[in-house]
Amino acid sequence: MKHFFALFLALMMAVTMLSAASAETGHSVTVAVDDDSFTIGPWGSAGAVRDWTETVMWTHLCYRPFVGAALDKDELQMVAAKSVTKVDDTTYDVEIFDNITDSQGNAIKASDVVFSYQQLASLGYVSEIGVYFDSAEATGDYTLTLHLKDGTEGAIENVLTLCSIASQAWYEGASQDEIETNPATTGPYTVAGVETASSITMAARADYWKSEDLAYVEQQNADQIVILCITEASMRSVALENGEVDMAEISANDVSRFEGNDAYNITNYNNFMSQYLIFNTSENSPCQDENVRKAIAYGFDCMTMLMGSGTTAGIVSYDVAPNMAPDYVQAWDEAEYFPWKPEVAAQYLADAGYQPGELTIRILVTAQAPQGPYQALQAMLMQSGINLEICAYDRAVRQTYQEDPTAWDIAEYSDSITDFTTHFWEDLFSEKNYGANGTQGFTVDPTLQQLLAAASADRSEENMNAFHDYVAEHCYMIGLYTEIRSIVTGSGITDICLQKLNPVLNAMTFAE
Amino acid sequence: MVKYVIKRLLIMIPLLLAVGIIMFTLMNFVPGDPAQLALGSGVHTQEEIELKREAMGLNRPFVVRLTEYIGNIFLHFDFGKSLTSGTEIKYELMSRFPYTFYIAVFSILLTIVVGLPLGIYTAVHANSLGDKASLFITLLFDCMPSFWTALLLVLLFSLNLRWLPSSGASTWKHFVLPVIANSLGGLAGFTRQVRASMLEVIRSDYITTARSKGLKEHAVVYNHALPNALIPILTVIGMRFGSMLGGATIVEVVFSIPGIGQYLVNAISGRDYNACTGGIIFIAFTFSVIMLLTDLLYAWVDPRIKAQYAGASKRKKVAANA
Repeated sequence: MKHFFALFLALMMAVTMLSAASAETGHSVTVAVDDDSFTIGPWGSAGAVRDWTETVMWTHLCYRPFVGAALDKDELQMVAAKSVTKVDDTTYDVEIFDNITDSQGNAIKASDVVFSYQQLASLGYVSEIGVYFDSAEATGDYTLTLHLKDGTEGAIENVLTLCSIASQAWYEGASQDEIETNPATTGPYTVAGVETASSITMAARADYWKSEDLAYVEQQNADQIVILCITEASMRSVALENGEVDMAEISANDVSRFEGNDAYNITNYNNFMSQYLIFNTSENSPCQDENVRKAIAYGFDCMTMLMGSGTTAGIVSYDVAPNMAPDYVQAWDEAEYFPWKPEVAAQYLADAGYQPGELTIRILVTAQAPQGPYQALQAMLMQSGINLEICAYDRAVRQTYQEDPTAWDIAEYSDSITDFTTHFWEDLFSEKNYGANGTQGFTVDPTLQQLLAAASADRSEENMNAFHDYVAEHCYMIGLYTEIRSIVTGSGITDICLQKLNPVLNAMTFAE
Repeated sequence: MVKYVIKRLLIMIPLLLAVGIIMFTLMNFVPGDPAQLALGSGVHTQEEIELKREAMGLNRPFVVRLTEYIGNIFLHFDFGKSLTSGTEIKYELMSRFPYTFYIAVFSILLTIVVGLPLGIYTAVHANSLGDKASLFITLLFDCMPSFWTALLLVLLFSLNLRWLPSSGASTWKHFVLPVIANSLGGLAGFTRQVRASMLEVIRSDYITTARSKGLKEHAVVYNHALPNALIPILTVIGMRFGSMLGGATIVEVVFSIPGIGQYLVNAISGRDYNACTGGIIFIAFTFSVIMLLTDLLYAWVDPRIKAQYAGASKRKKVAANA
């Protein structure tokens, strides 16, 4: 009996060691995401939903790191392009490697690259491609020429990095189901399994065509990456605590559960999505009066608003541009714009001809966004004698009312900066986008347009300052804050590689 | 009987048409531009929006779009594409339906397996301690919102005991907690319904007759009382199963089950008009089918109803001959 027992124990030990050894051969990472739109098409979905999930999957794992390059601190990391040669301001010759194949063995040639650009441009999902890309033509099996509409700084980098590449023959012959569940991927990973709207398992490609000089978007640090959809924020925290997932973005309310716990690593990052207030300067709104705008601007404190969303993790800013683009003038950080001064606010209100409590302002917000900051704003403005009515609508209705000058007086506005401050300003203030309405805030001001055109054409400090100061002086908009987000990982993952807000799952560092 | 089924199936056509027309019309007139939604949240020029509207066919008259939409659904089973994700709605609905179906089937089974015996017991032993305890417990479950029940189950079985996973849908273990959470609220109502229905029957004269004939209590309850109490119970089961097939919304969201309910919640919050309309027509269809099956079950359970179904056509024949 003793012999039998010993033999049994020895056998169990051997099995345990073998299984442990096999587990160590590769890393598997399970990442919780909050979105279930698992549409792994090479060029996005018809709805232009390019959220965290899709970006993570396409950008770094399946398709996108392809044609040209990945932008990293102003340095181009070549992926599939052997060389990019500037012919003139708007023309570039690109040579791609001649041994590129997708996960189903299709060879990728210059004609596939041209096809991919044409697809993305015609679908119109990526605004930068629409703005900068003009046309592409294959000049050989592995050479092509890219023509840009606009030769401004950053244009070629955007065009090179934002287009996913797929084989034309595969794409045109594949059914929707094949595209969804068994795509021919050109990136370092391929799809190993799909649970509709629940999870996607991606496996590192053993046959990835490149083995040397890998850009970090091409690395294969994890053998298997599982993207698991958990829509409820609190359930993502539970899944992390359970060990069901290795990594998740955690809401500000929940992150304290993991702080000070050695079993977890927390990576805080600036989410680049800054919040602003835009004033309706049309004749339909009391905010047409600059004194009213300034009364509001001096009537609240950004940090108190941020605390209204349940966190103090954020960068407060009264500025009219996010401090994240290369053309940002650092001196703007030192300037004092509209500090919270209720007495100054009350004075501006009096100058506008309103008694305390007489003026009611409507703020247009998205119902899905946390309402706490606006309730804090409401309380603060009340101290200066301004009533604030919060008009919260869901996104679609809000989009409609946004264009109606009679529907609101202030609108909350969230936007990220993709490349230059001037592009951010153009989104808000260029009459090219708003026609007769002037700007998003219905501001018809020729001087504003003139200054914007000058800054866009030449991003000199003088031009940038001129526009910036003009907007701040007339108080057309106010910066609020940029939230800090937290990604929590199990202690097995020691470092998260972040590129343009997205964790590069394949390039994470694992604990020994 | 066959004629009855065919008649019911034919009635479903105008019903579904009405649902489709109402939904499409409502979605058409609520504020919000599908073209802007499809373009995403960035800033778009009027030209871009107009181009998108044209590409989506939104510039055509309402009646033309309605006719095309309804025609596509009924002739090609084509619900169109989602405005936010761009995927085929038919594909989404069909791939998500199995998850909702599993939860609905196992929830209703759990409800029946636990609720039926409990309801019978409380009816037979009315006003006993067991009846009162059952009333207390079932009312307690009835009062608990399902999202709260779901969270309690997660805290206990996932977070503390670590027996079962909290989210996902890849193995049978992932369905245990959703099924329990989905059943508990309905279980209470079902048990009370069985009790009320059985109580009414048990007090009937024919049950007293059965007992006076010396039949065993077991036979009286299960052979005489239960079959006669089944009609209202079947109605409750049918209604509950039908609505469960439309998605156990809260449970699916809490446990991240990619079912119809979660799809509709996302579609509504994202104002995905096509997905909303398609999803609701699909739910109306499944509900109608379940109601038809429930009606057929009535006939199977109660020969009088079967005779009525069959009798209607016979009566018409006789009238025609006369």
